[in-house]
Amino acid sequence: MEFRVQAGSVVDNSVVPTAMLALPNKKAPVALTRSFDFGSSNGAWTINGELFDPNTITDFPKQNTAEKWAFSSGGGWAHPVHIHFEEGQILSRNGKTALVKDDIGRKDVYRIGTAAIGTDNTGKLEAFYQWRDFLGDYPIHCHNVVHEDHAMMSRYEIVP
Amino acid sequence: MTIQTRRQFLALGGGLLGTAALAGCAGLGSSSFGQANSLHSISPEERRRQRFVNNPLLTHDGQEVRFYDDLLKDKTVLINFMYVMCKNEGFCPMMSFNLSKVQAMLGDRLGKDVFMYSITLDPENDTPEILASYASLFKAKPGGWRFITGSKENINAVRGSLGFRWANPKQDSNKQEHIGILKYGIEPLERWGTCPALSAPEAITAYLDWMRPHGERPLG
Repeated sequence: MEFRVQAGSVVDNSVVPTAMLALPNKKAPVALTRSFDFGSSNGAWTINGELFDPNTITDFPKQNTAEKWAFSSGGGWAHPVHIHFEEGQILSRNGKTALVKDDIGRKDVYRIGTAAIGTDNTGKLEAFYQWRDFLGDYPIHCHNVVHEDHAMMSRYEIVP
Repeated sequence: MTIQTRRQFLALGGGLLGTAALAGCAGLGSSSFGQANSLHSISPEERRRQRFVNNPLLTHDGQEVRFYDDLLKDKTVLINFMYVMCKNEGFCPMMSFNLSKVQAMLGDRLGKDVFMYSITLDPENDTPEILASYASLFKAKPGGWRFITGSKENINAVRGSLGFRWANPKQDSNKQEHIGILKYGIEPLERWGTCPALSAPEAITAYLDWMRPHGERPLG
């Protein structure tokens, strides 16, 4: 495909909408709750006590369902948890559903553990997820890439 | 020269991890960063040599070796730390068992251009004789996978220069919490990486291959 710019003028009918699309209803019933604990073991980093194995997929959420994903950490370290492909919404932080401003909206990274102002010392965070249009397998990892490379990562696959 | 310098800078922290990276940088700070200004004036050989210590050590097969000259120089290596009387729920035996599978996957390359070293954290108890029987337990290939001991001071110097160190001295002195990481590298290329020693053996050999000049990375 290519664009060829021509001389002359055209009418532009586009309008900037006054409101953005509403966020998905995060109070919708969930089919399943999954837990991911971000920990460490002898200088290496783990999810649910496991080191990353590139050949293993651990979670298989079903398309057209909603799920609650719970991320936890013993603290001490910050773990910016990055969920690839799908975005979620935070339901609660340390059990509190009243969220600080930064926590409202669509998220693909969740700061847990010792993190930023307003989100510090998060032992547990819950997020609402919907598995919608696409199938396939994607990674979950700590976005402190030293943790990621030593092997705080896992795979999940959205299945029909 | 710019790229070389940047690469050298990255390499100082590149293979280290977490608190160990901080400890490593803090510990090596005076020497490594102090050398930064002189990078332009030293030869690649000298730079390679300065990256690691060259302390004398003993192998389980009874050889006296120097860490850099005899174990690292011009070789592709995989290095971890362990001790025979490990009481941490079998952590060290699990690592050694995992490395025995890595050994099998390395095949003929092991002992030719690739070498594995398991260095003891308990040199007072782990004599070459004890390590030799431990090595036979895991069917370590003679000349390919060697278990290393030495004086406590020399072992600690080697451990520090590899970055296998906690920042907190109390934690660092607790052998049960020792760093369970495998450091691998292609010494002549100055390429170094680390991964957990309990990673899947297929993953460990793949990570090593990725550092080779024509190593293949998986697509997609």
